[in-house]
Amino acid sequence: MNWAVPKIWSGGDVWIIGGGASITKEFEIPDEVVLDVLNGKQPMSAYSPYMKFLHDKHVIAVNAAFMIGEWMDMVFFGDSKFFLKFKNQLYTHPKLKVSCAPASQQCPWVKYLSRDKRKPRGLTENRETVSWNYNSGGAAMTVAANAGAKRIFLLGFDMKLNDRGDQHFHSVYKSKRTAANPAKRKNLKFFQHLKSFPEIAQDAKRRGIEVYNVCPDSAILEFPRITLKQAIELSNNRIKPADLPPVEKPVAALPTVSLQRHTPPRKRLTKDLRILCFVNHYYNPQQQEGFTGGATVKGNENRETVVTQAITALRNIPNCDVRVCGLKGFTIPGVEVDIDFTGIKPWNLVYESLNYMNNFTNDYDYFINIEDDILLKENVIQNVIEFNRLRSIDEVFLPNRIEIEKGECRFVDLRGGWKKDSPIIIFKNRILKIANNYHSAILILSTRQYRYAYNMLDPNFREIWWGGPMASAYAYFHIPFQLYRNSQLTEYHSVEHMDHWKCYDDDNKDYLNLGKEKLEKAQRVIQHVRKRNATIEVKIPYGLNMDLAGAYNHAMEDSKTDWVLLLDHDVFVSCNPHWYDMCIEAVRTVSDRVGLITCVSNPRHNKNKGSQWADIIINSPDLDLHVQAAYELYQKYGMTLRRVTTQKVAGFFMLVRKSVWKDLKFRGVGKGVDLIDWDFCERLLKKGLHIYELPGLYVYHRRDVRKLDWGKPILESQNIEELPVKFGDWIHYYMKHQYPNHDYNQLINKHHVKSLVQPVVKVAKELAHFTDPLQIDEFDYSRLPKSFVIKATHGSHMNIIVKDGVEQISANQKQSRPFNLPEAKVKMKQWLETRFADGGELYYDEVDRGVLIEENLCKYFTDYEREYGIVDYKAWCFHGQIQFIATANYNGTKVNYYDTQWNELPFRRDDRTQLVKFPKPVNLEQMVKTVNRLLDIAGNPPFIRVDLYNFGMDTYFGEFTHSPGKGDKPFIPLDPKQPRDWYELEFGRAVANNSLTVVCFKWKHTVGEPLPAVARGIKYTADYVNKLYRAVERNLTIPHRFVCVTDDPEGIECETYPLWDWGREFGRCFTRLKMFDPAMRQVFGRRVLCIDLDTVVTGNLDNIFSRKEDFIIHTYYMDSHGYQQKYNGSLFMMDMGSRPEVYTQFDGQRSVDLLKKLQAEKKIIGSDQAWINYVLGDGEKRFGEEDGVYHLRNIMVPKRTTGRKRGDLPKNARLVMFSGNQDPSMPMYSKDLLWVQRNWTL
Amino acid sequence: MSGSFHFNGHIIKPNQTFEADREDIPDAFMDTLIPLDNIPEVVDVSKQPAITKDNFNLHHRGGGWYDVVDKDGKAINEKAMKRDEAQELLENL
Repeated sequence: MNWAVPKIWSGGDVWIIGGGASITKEFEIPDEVVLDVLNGKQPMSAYSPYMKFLHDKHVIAVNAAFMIGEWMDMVFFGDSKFFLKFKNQLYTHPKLKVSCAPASQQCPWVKYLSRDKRKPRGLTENRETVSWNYNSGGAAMTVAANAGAKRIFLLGFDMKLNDRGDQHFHSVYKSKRTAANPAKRKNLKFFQHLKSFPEIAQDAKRRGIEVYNVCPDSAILEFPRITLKQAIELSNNRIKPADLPPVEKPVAALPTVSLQRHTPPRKRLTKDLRILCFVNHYYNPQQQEGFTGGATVKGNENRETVVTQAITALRNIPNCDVRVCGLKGFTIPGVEVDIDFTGIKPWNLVYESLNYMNNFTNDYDYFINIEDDILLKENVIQNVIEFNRLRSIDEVFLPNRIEIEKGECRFVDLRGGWKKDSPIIIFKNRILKIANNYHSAILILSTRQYRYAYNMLDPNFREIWWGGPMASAYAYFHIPFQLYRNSQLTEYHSVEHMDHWKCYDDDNKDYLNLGKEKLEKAQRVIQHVRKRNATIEVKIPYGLNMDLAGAYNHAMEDSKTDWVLLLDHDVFVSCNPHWYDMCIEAVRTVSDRVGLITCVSNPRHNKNKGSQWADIIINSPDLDLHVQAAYELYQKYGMTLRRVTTQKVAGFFMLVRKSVWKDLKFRGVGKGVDLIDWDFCERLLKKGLHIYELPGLYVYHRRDVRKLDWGKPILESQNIEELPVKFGDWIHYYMKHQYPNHDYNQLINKHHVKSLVQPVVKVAKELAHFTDPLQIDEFDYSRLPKSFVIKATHGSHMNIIVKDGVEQISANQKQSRPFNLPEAKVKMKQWLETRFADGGELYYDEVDRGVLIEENLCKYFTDYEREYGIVDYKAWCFHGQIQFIATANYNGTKVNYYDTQWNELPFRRDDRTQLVKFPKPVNLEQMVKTVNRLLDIAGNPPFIRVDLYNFGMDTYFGEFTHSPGKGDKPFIPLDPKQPRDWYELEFGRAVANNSLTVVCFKWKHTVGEPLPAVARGIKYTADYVNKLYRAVERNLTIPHRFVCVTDDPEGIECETYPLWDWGREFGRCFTRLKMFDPAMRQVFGRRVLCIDLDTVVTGNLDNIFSRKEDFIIHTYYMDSHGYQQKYNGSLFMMDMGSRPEVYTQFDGQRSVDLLKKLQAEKKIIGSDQAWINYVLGDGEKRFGEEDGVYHLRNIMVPKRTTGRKRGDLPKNARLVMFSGNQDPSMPMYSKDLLWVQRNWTL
Repeated sequence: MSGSFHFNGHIIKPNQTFEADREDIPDAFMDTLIPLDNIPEVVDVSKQPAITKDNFNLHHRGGGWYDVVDKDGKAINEKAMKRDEAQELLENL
């Protein structure tokens, strides 16, 4: 169960310490201490004395910061890798450990908060969850907020490397190496982390939480960045937030990594970033063409100075290619035209030059287009680059144009006021808003933004619609964008107009009041462009408790755009990366009569079922193939549109015009989606509207994609594959992962399996078998009887059932028609082409494709089947055991579940079947035996279903089924009070029971004769168990349980099982023989390994414990007494129940007496091992030294042949057994032998 | 054992000496390595019972108001609580 964050910090300050390197600088920690910590010479706690101020504050340490000191109130971590690496240190930390790392969920001392899937970013208010924010620091802010913090101070939230290239103030992650390696820097995830902070800031503001970033140089721009000194004063209430002086370093250095894809980091401005700047210059004092291009107010005498100054300033910007655009012959003396627009109307110069820039989009990263009297400085470009990095493509940070007159600064662009309801952006502690004025005599766009605008605008548009011709051109190019400006009247982010704009004169106050006619024109222009800037909302219709049509209507109703793309959840649109652009282009292009646009996709089996099918057929879930198909179709058809005349358009991709939908609406007709979309399209066509498709837009519709399981936690990027728990999940698991050594082809192929099972059960007689289409054509069908069945050998639902020459075409056999041979041949050939694994059951790829014809079993029907129909008997079997038998009528509409005694069972599957009583088969016992023999043939896999038919006393084989219903129909209890997943879990456990169980024994109360070592004074304590348990955990990677059978579980770390009384009265190890009782399989599972407590594990056990024989036991090495004993009971592994005679033949005291007699004859020695040897004889498989299993006695003897000295561990040793009266705790071993010291430890 | 042992981005060659923490070595490779120093064993603490609340106590501020304090006397809570509330918080740690 999740923990809930208690409201312990209501109204208080909370300090969160992240890992950023700035902490050492803020706390003024001496460099030598920092270097010592970074080099591992001093622990992180060396910082603690310098952070005394925090010791009595409420502090959350994020990740490794907890190592600074124990004065932190809470440690928070969100990364599973971090938990796994530092869990030991975390455990000993005395304060609260809070986490959303999935790996820590089961850890009892970690307070686990799951990640809020509904609110992954921001600050969730659900106290049992966190907004993960994709970084632990962001998630920790959620915890602080939910604990009631009023103010949050962030320390070490740098989100960038420091000047030295350090990522952290410590080196425990060894991140220095990563940061130092430019090739690895791209792996740093600062950009991903930064994405969440805008939403966190919004939520914090909404909840009244003040957040301060105590790192003036941080890359997080959403919170005021203050110094530690300021933070302390704030915290001590010596100053108020309003008193905070502006941060001294307002320009944040950009993170130096991982931002290349979004915008170049700062240094690129001077080194790599390529900027093209067009300066529009025209000078015509003679007023030819009625356009002077002269100064407005200051007079022409200053023009030369102004233009030269503007161009010089631009040329001083590093890496900026400045081109003067103009008309030759119309320039200020001394200014050369670089790009000549002679021949155009001079007042269109800006329109021309803005459009002309499109020729250079492959060569430059940024474009500047500017009037010749504007003074632009480098910091403005820097701001724009930073802004673009954080904002979307359609947002622009436009500099304010200022004019300085007699020492007064005028903000000429802002006189028009601010847009009503303008959104507000906080950027670098400035408030940005959208002004009414589009014009600023400058345009600064990234190449992406320029292309975005250019594609949306009409390149032939030359109208004067916004002020003068120049202003109109700049305004026109800015229509596609949200134009943010600095709303505070400061010179920050401004350009200086070195002339004087006449609009600022008193008589031009209302320069933006363009007059009714001009204003209407301006609105028309804007609307025209905005219309071209169509956006499409993409929706996957879904609504709680809504039918499908309702969900479709809800999605449309909820949308705000003219067109809405309705998608199914199993559509991979991005096979073509241009899909969205194509949709946009399509809705811009089509006429008003078009109501729906669709794409093309992979055809389903029945290609004639609708339109929309591409010319390319791909019957594979391999995404690469679909991407290739999308590419080929895009190459072939591009953006063309094709009219569709059928209403049979598939509903998985429908681009619907909202106005059309308003008239028609989706109607709930039929059961599936087919009829809903067809009905909609049919009415659309009847209304005289059109449907178009994009033949160049291919999407992959992955039908049959299984339902997603939202209940599972999302794993961190670790190579940990969690094994399933529920039965359905196991089926999904085994649809992808195959059973080891399982011959799917022989067991599933309906032709092959007949010969396999024929010795055990009757099978339908095979009449023909085809693996080639030619065989289908060449076969003489006249030889067939009147009743027969045709079926594919490599899948299900590919059958033709013919009875008395009539084909039964529906499952309930009520519909029928005469058998049509040509049609059947076509079907058979199609089956041969069908890859059944496409449905997700990947093991079908192992199965040979084929078609067989076999007799129809109807001729064996008894009166019962003739009256009630044939009954399927499906035995659900786990690890060779029948769990239950499901019965079903032919079409599966009536079912029931029985145990092997034919008692009804209290569950059903979650399907639409009806529970009815089925009579107990007269030969039930025989059927059960048959199933058991079939299970042996199948190799007793973790799960398999054996399907049989039964006619009177005769049982016929149906098939082996590995993934019934693909695991998608869960078992549910009939009793509503029982937990719904009870049986899913129970059968899940039954599947999981294939793992090995390692069993050891420890008994406190000795009865009868003690063990030899106990007789020598050795006390087997819980430590023995724990040492063995931990050693096995360290050295065994295959799935397993570790169980200690004991009468004294105190202090034992592993799973325990109560020691039974059976056999204890005889002393020594006789009680252990109970393990041979087949009934113990219910307790320990199918495969068990018993191991003595006094074993030292010295190496990896995977190979030893993976041996496959049904019974293996350790070798008894001959000692000086010359016993003929072969087995040593210190280690044996077996399939439970495989040697029941060892248990059943044990006859108490008589058996013990017999062993004593044999021991006296030096034939056998020991207790349980002697009995095993006596009952089983000498022929069993054994563990030996070749496996790495040694007896101590052999190690303590030097080996001359290899030069191994006494006590030296052989190189291949994995297990050393100390059986007899020796024990690893004895000083001669635990102190003198290094390998015992190292390996026999907690 | 077949396969290459990758450690810190490098392949460790046969007979190569290198320095590593025990927890950084995958179990599957432990038997292929010869430790030159005593290996501190990794204890799986993730199944240990929670002991956090043992590190905290109730502290009476006076007037029936309580803090939950750590062993150094630092209150984990911002505002004092009534005893029941403090006790509940203590249990919840």
